[in-house]
Amino acid sequence: MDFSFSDEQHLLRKLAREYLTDRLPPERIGELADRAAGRDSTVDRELFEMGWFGDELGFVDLLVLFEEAGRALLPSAWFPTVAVVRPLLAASDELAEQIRNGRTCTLAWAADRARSALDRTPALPGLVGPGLLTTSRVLVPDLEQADSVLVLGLDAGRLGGLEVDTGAHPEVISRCPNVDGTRRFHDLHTDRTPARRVQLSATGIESLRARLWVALAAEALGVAGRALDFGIEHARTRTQFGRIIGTYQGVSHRLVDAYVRIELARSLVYRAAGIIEEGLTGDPLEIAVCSAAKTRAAGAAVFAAENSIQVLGGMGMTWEHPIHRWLKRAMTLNAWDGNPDTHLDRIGESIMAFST
Amino acid sequence: MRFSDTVEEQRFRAELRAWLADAVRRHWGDDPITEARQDVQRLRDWSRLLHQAGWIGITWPHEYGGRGLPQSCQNIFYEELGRAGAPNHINTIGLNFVAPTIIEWGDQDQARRFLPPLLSGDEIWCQGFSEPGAGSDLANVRTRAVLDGEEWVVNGQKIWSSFAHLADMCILVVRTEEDVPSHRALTFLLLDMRTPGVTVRPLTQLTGAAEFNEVFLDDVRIPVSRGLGERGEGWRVIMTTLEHERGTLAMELAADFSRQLDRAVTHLRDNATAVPDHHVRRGVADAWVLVQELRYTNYRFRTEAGETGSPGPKGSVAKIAWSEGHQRLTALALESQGLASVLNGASAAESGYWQLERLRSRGNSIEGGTTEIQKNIIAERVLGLPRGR
Repeated sequence: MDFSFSDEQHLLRKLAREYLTDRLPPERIGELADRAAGRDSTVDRELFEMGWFGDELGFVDLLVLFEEAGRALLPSAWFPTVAVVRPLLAASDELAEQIRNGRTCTLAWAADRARSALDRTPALPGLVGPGLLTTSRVLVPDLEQADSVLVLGLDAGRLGGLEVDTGAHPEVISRCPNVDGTRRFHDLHTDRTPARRVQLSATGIESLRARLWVALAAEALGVAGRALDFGIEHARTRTQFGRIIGTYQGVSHRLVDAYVRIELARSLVYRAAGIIEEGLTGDPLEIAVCSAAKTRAAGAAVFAAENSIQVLGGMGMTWEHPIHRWLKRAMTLNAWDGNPDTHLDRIGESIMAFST
Repeated sequence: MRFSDTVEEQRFRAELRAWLADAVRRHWGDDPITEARQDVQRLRDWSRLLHQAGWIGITWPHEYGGRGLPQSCQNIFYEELGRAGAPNHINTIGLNFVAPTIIEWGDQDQARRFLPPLLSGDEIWCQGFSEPGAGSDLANVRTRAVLDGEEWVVNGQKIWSSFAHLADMCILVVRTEEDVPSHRALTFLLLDMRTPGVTVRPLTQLTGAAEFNEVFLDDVRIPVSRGLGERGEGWRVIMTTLEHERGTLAMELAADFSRQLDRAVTHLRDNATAVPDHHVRRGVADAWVLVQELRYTNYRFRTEAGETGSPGPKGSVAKIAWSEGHQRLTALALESQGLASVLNGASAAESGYWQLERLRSRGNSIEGGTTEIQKNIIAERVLGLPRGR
């Protein structure tokens, strides 16, 4: 096994890190998160100019970008666009071409807050009259930031999709207060709103989920790494009782615990990214690796952010210090498409069954 | 990134798997791991068999009896050994710690003298590092060596020396210099355990077994030519040994853990009545995920370090995670027995295998550098936090 990134991938990471550090420092992230609409459309345009929407990017390339985007808490519908919408599209569909040209599109799947997992996707609603859609979807990520939304549903056992131009019809967005201001989930209510039937590829729910998990996991790695850095920076400089607090094992071992979890999760996430890039073969253990990557990376991100807050002490509990943004994104990633117990239960079941 | 075996790796794996399938069936009964524990001679014979078939020292240079294969093949060896449920070579300390140290620090004569019998298992090695007053604080070694002509005369006491009761040779750390800081006061010696003045006293562990020992050294004479590295250079030699302890061992631990999980799953499926199903499912999932994490982390660190490099201080990640994960798994397997878990030996399920494993695993976070020391290493050398001492 060879876990090395190519020279191009190293360069991709370097450029992404430089750009995001410059354009979205923590102060700027705080401003965007606290604004009514958390969108910076110039950033989306610049991402397009840097090639982030290009469909020549393989999944391992995207992994690098997801990780860097997570590190900076990039608030953008670029994530759902390339993580889940694009792989659903037939190459011939016009939306695929538009995404290549920088259009963002998010995904609406859940009809019910209690059934938000992707595998609970309900039936595809029908269009009436000259392509008008009346439907409701809940918990749609980055909805107000996206140019459009793909409403997903089951149509005779297969996935079908309808695109609504939310840029032209912003009235369909029903805003909900969110914990994390950098990635908000809103509800969608269309009422005889124009919609277009989208040609989808043959992607099924299982492979869509696996891809989403690994994308979320990659983003979580970035979130975790930056969250840990806040704690390390503080532990290196803060003095109490006449000593730098990083010399106390009660402090340093907390940070090491987070580091250990992040590094273990990183290996899983990179391996899982390889599985997605090569394509699932139907081996249930491949799905288990993707599921594990998601649950471990998101868990590590929450853990790292919480431990850094503990190390920061009272400062970590203030709105002013930026660390809470990373905790909130981590909590969002942890909750998205299956909490840790759900994932572990499923993995455990398949391992117990597999070994018989 | 590449996650499948190369053609060379595929061939190596297939050949090894076929050999193991046959050899394990012929050499061992139903429970090779337990049988190996109970019968040292049988394990020695198995070790010789592994060596004769060319599976030991595969990454070493040809000149030292190796096959010059890439590091990935060593990892495949451990994976396949774990998969076959077969015990490893008896000379774990010799192969993992002593040999890399001799290859790096020894001269030609030492390499020629010590490496071949180490590979075959004809000479078993132990480690004489820790002392009653120098455990985690290894630099505090008090065993003293004084030069007398061409010989060191050694007096002192070592402790926690695994395999010392079986060992033919020992890597010994002694204090040879006065009035200098410890990292310049130590010397690294190769001790023949049959030398007069060496007394080994087994220490009974809380499991009832005696895996490790006290070693008493009274006027033990060691030729100066049996030094590894220069006089006073011992601390640097120790660092080589410890880096390998963290690197190579991690692969073996991952493979071992995988084998343990398979056994636990079988046990839990047949016996889990005393704990709720979801508890078992999550515990099994947690262990399975950890097996994957350890396996891929070993490969990843190996990739990042380059073909021959050791993972360095990052290697502690695997040791910390493995020890805690193994403790959780053995606890789950035993707890699943309910009140019957109080029984032991022949009266217990699987002849007390999980009772023993549960208790033995307690030592995992102590042996080979405690979890606390591993965390200090990461804090200082990876995270760049200031030294606490």
